[in-house]
Amino acid sequence: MRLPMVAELNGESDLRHRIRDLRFFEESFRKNVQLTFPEGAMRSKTDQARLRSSFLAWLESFQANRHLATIDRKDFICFSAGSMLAELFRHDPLSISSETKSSDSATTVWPEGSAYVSYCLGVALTVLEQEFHLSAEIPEYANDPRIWQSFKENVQDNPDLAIPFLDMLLGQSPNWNEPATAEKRPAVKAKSTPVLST
Amino acid sequence: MPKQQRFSLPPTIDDLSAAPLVVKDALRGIRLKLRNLAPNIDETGLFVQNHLPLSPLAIATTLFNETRKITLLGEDIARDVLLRHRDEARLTAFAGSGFGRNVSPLPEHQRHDYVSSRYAALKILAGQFKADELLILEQPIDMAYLTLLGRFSDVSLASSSKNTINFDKIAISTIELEKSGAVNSPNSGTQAPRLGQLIFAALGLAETILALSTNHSVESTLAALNLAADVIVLRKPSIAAIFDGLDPEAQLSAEYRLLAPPLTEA
Repeated sequence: MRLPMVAELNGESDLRHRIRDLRFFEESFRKNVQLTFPEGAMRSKTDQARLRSSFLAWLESFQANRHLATIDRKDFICFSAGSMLAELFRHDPLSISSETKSSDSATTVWPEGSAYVSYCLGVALTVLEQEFHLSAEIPEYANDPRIWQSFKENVQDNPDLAIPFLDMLLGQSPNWNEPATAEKRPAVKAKSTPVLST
Repeated sequence: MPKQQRFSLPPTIDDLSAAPLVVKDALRGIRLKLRNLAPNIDETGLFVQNHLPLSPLAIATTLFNETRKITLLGEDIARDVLLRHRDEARLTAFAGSGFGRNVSPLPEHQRHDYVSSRYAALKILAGQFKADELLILEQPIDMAYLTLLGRFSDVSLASSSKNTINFDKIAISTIELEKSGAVNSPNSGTQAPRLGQLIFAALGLAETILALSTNHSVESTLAALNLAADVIVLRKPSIAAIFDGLDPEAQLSAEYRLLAPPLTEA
């Protein structure tokens, strides 16, 4: 899958703070759409009110869970990016009309979905690199159209399933049962369970 | 027959400085009523005329109405241009005259700046909410200012530093202004939140955004008001819950803490 925004986002120092700025979020989201669909045959339209609604809903979730960053910072970055993805799916600000097929399987199966994933994945990878000097490899199955078809069906049923899906792409242990409950994430549970002395 | 609304005079001699505001508000009320006294107009916007020969009195009435229509149109255009400029000029004092930052002692012109800039901001917000014809009054803003001044003399509400933003004070001011009757929003039954609540919530959010920013130009103030109005519309369920909740001041303060930093220009 294509991540056209990573180089651009890497140019922003302190992305983890910048991404909490509505103007920056809107601007970078639109830029990602432009870079994801450069061909003239694909036309995209972004609904500003829906895009802002996704941001505001994500912001609420972020503020409610940010105390968990002290338990496992890396895991919290992945969870936050997943929450942003879930809100983008829930509010669905993007509509794309295409006349030709893209060479990218994700874009072919679900152009809007692939744009949301490439944006949130790009943000997560950049913040992880800036904070921990980590460069995660995107697994090969991210290019499998069957994965995208299954992902599309699942997320349309429950947008919060975007969180464990993004975890998988980032190599983080997913929580499929209660994806939106940050406290139930494997990494958080592992570090916050008190050790019983015998 | 229901009693007609009167614009009450300030209760004490100390408040006589508010008397001009009472007169201005009374004129605003009369002007709004006159504007609503539209002559009979059909769906195409033309005056309804019967096809019978007109009497001299009917001709005179029609002539009067047509002249009135042209005069009103001219007045509207002139008012729109001139008053928009005046309102924008009043906005220069908006960011600096609120209670969000601890300034002591308060400047002498604070009261005037607070009232006139909030009046101008409310008019701009009413336009943003597609309610240009809403009656907005200055005297209730002035009364709210005096109430807040007394309330904020309580040291427990003061911030520890002059540089910190007091979200609580902004929220308290917003709730007090909403209760003041400065905006006579039409009664929309059980619909929540009411238009007035949305307008005041946006006013407070804009004030918080500007309190976090160092740029207080008219352009930035207008941008903050526009953005605040857009965001408050998207937060309607939260705003309704806040105004109907048990502690609206604390809840609104939390809302501003959540929303304002991401909306403030870096």
